[in-house]
Amino acid sequence: MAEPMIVCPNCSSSIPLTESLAAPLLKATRAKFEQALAEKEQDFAGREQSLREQRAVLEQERTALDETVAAKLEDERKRIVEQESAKAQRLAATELATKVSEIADLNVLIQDREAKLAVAQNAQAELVRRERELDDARRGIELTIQD
Amino acid sequence: MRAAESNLRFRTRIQTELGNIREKAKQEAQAEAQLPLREREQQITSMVQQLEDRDTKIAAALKAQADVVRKERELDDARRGNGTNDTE
Repeated sequence: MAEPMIVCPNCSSSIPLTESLAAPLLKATRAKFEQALAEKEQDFAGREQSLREQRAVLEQERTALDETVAAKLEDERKRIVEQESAKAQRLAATELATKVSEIADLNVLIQDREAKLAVAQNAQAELVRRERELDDARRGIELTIQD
Repeated sequence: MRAAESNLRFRTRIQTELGNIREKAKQEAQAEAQLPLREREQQITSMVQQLEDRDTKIAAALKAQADVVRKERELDDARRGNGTNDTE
């Protein structure tokens, strides 16, 4: 492959661009690119660090927010539980009062029946005794008839 | 726009969570409030049973009394037929 040629701006003669002639130029260009690359890398590293810090801050803020929300939800839960409990008790109170009244009425009825049952059982006992006497009398009459 | 959407999602999630909390609290409160009612209902059932038992016993006692009275009348009739009067 032929060497690249450069043209002299003064005499317009063509000069071959040999490796020894291009070396300082290449070195300077390489150094310039390496410098730029190093600066870019430093810049990226700085931005990366900044992003990491921002992410950590966001994470802290999110944790704090989650804790705040959890605490507020717990407060709200307690308030709702109290509210619903009072509501349910209020709704049940009328029905409970009706049942308590029904129980009181039933107690009166049971006491009345107890008294009536005692009277009836006493009368029954007396009549059983009387029945025995009647049976004895019946047997006496039957014997009289047979005689 | 993104922040507004995020905010809306957050609010919706909180509302849903609060709705679930309220529903659960409501069910638990109702179950707890029903306990004394159930106890009273059991008490009433038991008392009605007692009442029916007493009524049955009273009816049995009255029937037994009626039977004895009937027997007594029959015996009186028999006495009158036989001309005896010695049971008193």
